Amino acid sequence: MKKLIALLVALMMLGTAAAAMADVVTVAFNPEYPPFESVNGDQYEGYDVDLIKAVAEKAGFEIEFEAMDFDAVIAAVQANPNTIGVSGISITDERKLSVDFSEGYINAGLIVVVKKDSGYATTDDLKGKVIGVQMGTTSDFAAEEITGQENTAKYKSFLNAIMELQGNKVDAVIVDKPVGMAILASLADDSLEIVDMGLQADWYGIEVNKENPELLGKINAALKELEAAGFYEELAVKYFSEKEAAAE
Amino acid sequence: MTIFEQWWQPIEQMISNKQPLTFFQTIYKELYMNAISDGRWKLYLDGLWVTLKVSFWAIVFGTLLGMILAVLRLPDVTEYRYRGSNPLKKAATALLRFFSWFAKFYIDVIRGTPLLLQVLIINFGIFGTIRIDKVIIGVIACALNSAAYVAEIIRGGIMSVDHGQMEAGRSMGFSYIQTMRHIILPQAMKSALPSLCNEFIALIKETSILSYIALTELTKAGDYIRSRTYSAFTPYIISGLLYLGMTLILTRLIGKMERRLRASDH
Repeated sequence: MKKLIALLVALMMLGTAAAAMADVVTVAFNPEYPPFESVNGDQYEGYDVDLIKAVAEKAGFEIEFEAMDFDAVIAAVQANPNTIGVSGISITDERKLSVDFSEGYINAGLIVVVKKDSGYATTDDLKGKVIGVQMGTTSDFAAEEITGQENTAKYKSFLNAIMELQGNKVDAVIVDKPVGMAILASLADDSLEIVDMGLQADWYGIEVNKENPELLGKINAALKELEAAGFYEELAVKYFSEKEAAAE
Repeated sequence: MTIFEQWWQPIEQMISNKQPLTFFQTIYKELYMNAISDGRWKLYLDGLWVTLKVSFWAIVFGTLLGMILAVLRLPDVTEYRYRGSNPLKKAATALLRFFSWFAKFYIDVIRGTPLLLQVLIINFGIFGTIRIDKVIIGVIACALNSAAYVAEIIRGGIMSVDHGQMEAGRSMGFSYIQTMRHIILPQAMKSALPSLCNEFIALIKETSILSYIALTELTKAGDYIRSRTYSAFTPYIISGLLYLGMTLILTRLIGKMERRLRASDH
């Protein structure tokens, strides 16, 4: 029995050592954000997933995905220089002080989800109202600007915010345009509608540890190539247009 | 410009020039970003206040409800049989037995499921369409949860009091409830106090789960600042120190109370 336990411990240590040695980049992300990232059966799919796979192929490194909470992505990237965050992360000046970001790869725009009978049409209508968002997203920043920090209800996931909107506990939800389209298409809730209030969004970037400028350089070069080759448009068609059509 | 901003500017310059920071500069950078700039220290204090409010009321209501549950779970109640023929008393006994059964059921369910799920069910289910202050939802969820634990702690305390005390009280002419209130419960509380202190400390820390329903308590305040600055740990360390301060103060207070209650031991 003792020998068996020793063997098991040794094997486990060997496993972790092997994982640490291999030159594999870990992609930290939160696959609860369709169409950017989601789980389909035992596969991860979405805009970000396809993008980082293409980047890795171009730049010549191996990747493995590691799913976690959106909050945890920050810590994962800073804890390990070989981990990158690809999870619809907005580039902001303040964040740049703590981590590096690749060039922005998409600015999807923001939409507001409201109850159909609410009559909210402009951001002025939302002043002083409670707006639900996913914390730390570009929607969160936009909501604070409209209604102030104290009236912004920040959830771990935007799905909770939508649930609160259905229960009339928040007045509106701000979310990325493709994400809002996708969720409304799958919810099929007639009482909700999408309003475009012309909100400004931030660009999404790939989050890289400050100690790994080499990797950042590789990623940026690959992104540039992909953009020139029209890969962004390809992804947009694949992930956004059919979902938008379904929502309308 | 404040003195803090004056110290910050050269560091900010160094970061944008990608120069390495010294150890103390790094610490100042973390502190400045996560506690000083934008008046962020106020967010921690606001969060602390919400946590204190929720914890206080949850402890008060949780203990009251817990006491009721504890009495319902006593052998005096569970093993009580009425053998007379008064239909009113028969009905009252049946009702009591039902409450006793429900108390057991309640304690089993609450202790057997995670607080996080209870909070989510209460917020998105029971209060699914009712818009009230999130603090109230937090108090309800935490008090309901804590009551189950407090009930078992107090039941243990009551059962540790010698049965002779109840017999003495009854033979002095006190009713069951009077004996309970004036003789048994005070002694029970004394022996239950250390375990209760444990439960209160656990409760204060568990209120951090309320961040899931967008209540801006202390953990959420840290989370929020972290989502702006992308500092991996500093906001959590600040929040953690504040939790530690709260629980240490509570431990000291209860320790003092224990000593005063022990004064009557001789």
